[in-house]
Amino acid sequence: MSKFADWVEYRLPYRGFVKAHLTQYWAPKNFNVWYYFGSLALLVFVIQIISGIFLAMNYKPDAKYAFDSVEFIMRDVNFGWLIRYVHSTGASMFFVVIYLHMMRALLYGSYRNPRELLWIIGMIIYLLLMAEAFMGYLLPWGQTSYWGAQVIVNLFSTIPVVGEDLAVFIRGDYAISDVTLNRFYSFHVVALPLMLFGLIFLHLAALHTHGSNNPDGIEIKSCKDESGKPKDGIAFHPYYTIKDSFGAVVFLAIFCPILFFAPDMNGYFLEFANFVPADPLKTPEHIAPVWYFTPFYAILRAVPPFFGTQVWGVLAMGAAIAVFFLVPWLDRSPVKSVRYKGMYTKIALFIFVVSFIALGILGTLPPNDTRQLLSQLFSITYFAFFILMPWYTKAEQTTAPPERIT
Amino acid sequence: MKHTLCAVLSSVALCLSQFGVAAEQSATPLAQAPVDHYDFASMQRGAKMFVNYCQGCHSLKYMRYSRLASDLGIPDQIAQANLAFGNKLFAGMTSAMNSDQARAWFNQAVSPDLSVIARSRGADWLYAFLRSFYRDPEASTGWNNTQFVNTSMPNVLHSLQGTYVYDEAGELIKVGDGTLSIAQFDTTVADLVNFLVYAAEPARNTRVRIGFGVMIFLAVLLGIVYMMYREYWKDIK
Repeated sequence: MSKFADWVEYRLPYRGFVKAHLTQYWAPKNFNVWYYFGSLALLVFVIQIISGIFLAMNYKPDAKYAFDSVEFIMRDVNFGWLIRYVHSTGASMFFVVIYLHMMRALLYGSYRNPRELLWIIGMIIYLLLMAEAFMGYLLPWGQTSYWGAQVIVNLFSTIPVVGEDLAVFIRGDYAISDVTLNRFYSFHVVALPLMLFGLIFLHLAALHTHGSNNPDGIEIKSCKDESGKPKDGIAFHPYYTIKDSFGAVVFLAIFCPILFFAPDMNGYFLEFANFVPADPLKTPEHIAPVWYFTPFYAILRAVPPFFGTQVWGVLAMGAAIAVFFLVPWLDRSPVKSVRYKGMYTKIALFIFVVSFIALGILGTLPPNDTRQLLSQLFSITYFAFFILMPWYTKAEQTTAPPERIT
Repeated sequence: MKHTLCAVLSSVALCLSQFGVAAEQSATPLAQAPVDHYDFASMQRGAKMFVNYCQGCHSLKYMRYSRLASDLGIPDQIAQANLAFGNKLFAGMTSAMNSDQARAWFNQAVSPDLSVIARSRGADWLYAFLRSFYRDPEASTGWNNTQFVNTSMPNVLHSLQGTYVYDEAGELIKVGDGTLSIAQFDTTVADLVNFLVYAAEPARNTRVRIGFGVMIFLAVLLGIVYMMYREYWKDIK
């Protein structure tokens, strides 16, 4: 066996790679529960790719047969129901994991120097993931699939001058149709997964350049022993491979009850109206996107039209996502981790989390006057978290982080 | 931080569940349909009801007679003679009425396929809808419904249910008897709803059964992986 390994090593030197990225890749020893979500995101990505491959074997991207083929998968394909529920539950759980992964970065300043690019690559992954989820949601060709896509593509038509043409260019038609379904299918199963794969690779490459941040927000590489190993670092393998395996099983213990006992999550993971085949002539009374888009949808609806155009809401929604890209430069605190930041940051983070969740809930509900007012209020606090960040991170009293991790 | 995470997650779940109920319900909450996924006798009676009273207009095109027979424990010969009649046993349960006929006879309305109706409308809605018909001389079919106002569907079960009218106080008043008592009719509708719930997801019971197995496996795996994790980490301070 070792002779074979030597043979391979001579032709493909993998041992150096394993050392550099696993057995002698030093990770801070103080990772807490927030640090599971990176490896969990990778796990869900793999789950989605595998279940997606099996779905694509049986799904028909044709407006005439798409809905039928999904029910065919649910009834006639061996374990088709399992494949489909894995994929639909996986889609929602991907966003649960990604939102918690992003929250971790906000808590411990993982986006700060020298990890700004790591954060930006992560944000691009998040954008692509939203596109991936949006296009995948059209494929079952139910009423929410159809009208959800109609609403989102129509957002582009609010752009002055080129908007209408742009929307037609995206759809390939004057309304969502078979043409749109085919191109979304192509993007969903080929283009976007390929791009995601490439960017996840870059995300990991950027991560491994300087190593992970940690809950104390200090660099373990600034304190090394004689051999050059960080004193507070431990080998990623076996310590974090085994710890992340434990995290993966805990995750599956949450994932599987949803998958097997409540796959539609009372209409939040699989919307009820999507069990009605798409009908271009019948607009549903209430169109709500799936829960992971609702915070941004609430911001979109919160902004009233000015000068006879709805484009402001679309711009606000775009800004709500785009502003994340600026976070590494908005944070002016001398320390990285929330543990050593002051009261202002803690309050701001709390208000931000409350705003995000509240907007998410408001986005699922049909609008009325009170909800409109609440959406506007929480949109303001959402943006205040970012806009005021340069001020409150600078103005507050911070404490000095320790030399070594705690 | 563990506590913060738990608190955030549980508050999200709590809010979603509360708002979810509020979002889905109409002004008056629906009575809960007595659905029992393991009452096969009830589902068999429901299948009989569907074939006799519903299939004239409504298809159940994704539901094969053969799947229904084997899932509900109906022997093939009986299913062939009493449910499928002249159709192939593995065929979908389609209606003899086509959509052009439906448009001509029901004022441009097409009776929807009911394969997944229990998933889009919900069992409680169906249970309420089928028991909420009343006589309305203004309506084209002579029937209206308090749950689905101005529905194009006539009360096909009125020979069983009897006749109701809608009085000024907004109550449904029984004015004519059917062949079933109120309690018997409710049970019959419950059987039909139970069958439609089954038909909307025939794999449901398999899913739950496998789910329990998977959870037991995960519990064992969790124990093993946790012990391995503790063992590897015991020298890390």
